[in-house]
Amino acid sequence: MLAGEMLNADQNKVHRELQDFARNLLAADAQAWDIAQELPEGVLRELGKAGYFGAMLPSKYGGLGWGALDYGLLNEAIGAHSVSLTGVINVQTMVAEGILKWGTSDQRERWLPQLASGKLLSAFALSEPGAGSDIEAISTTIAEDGDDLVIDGTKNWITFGDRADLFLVIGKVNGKGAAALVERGTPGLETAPHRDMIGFRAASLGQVRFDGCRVPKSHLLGRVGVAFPFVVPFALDLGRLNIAFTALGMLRTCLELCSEQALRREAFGKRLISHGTISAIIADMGVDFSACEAVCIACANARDRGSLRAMDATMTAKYFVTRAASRHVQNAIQILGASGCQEGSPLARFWGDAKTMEIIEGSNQIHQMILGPRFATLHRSRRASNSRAHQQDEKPTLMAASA
Amino acid sequence: MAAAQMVIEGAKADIRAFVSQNTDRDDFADDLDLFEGGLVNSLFVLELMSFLQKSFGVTLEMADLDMANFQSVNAMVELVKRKGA
Repeated sequence: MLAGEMLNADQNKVHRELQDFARNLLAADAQAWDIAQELPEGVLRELGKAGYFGAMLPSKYGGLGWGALDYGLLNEAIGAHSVSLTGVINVQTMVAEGILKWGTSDQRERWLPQLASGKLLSAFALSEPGAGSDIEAISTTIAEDGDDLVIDGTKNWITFGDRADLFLVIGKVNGKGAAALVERGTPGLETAPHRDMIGFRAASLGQVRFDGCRVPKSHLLGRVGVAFPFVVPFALDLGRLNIAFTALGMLRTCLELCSEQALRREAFGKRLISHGTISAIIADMGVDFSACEAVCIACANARDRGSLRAMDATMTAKYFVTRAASRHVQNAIQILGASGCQEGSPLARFWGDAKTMEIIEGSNQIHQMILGPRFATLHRSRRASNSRAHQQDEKPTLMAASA
Repeated sequence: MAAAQMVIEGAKADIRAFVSQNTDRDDFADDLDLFEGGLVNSLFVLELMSFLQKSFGVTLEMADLDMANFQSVNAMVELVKRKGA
């Protein structure tokens, strides 16, 4: 449960309902899906029926019209059980919101209702064997040929890439970034599974190959030249929101499992919680969880009120919470001992998921490269402005003293 | 100073202030290419877009999303002026 005082009554109610939904749908079987490396159709249908694949889309397209906070709470609730499933929600949201933001009215009418209902599931095809965070290094080409676009290239480790019905593909037209929408079944498009990854194992990660794949020019999202500065950063920013709240849900599960173990199990004649070393770990975990809640909710609120600092707040949340989750999954395994190391333990699954979340949607090193200068600039400016304000405040006092 | 010119000067001051707050620099020329000059990287353009839309009440359309429209203070002032702020 998130700290009640940080959410109002309505938000707490929504969160409780989402947690119930996630627990009922996912808790018993999420581990088996991870081992099988596939999410069942029925679970995806349930999410579609509930409207969660179009959580933030406007109602005119069949969406729920939610803001960032409700969307975050959804991912927290599901992330506590299945990071793979929030991964699918993530790419669906990135593609759908991308079409909403940058697409034509025809593109919105054609694809958004189907994405909102989950009838179409999508993937964001950006990463390549030789390019990840450095998006301008991608080598996939999109050639203009009469009324068509012809796509050639290979995308790797694409979340839901092996099952998606619709792909948002990032490539280059004469060296300039472009984004195109490609439906499964288009000649020249093939996918293959990336199995046995350490994280997101049930999210059907795939390699997506384009070999002379031809789509009409009307499938171009935005126009040539807008993909790198606008389409991709917009999508990754949304992705970071999802990841931050997913990691928060994972951290909650760690805290719950450790609390249960520490209060129930005894060693050397006393409960684990009475051993100082265990108590210290759980204290760190609880404090970090509280801080992560605050960072996540602050980020979502910044987005919902349209703050110009929302992107920074989202990067801060993704960076802070994924690091904390990674650290505390390891701590939780330490406290659970051998039972946390078994394949059947959610903690063993979370260990790989947490590491993966430190890498995707811009690695945490990329976050450091961006956030370091941003924080330095922000706080130097604040110090200068505080200093100026202080000098102005002092003037009347000095004048009064000399009078 | 004519009213229209005052509006433009106000917009220029606001844009300069926003760039300055985000770069800790205020010694840049109005026609300096902010990206080529290394003051900001291309990720910042999405924030510039939000800033212009919120601060000046303009709606930027697909045709406006050209890096050239965001590359300098003068270019952004021109964009805002063109969009009828």
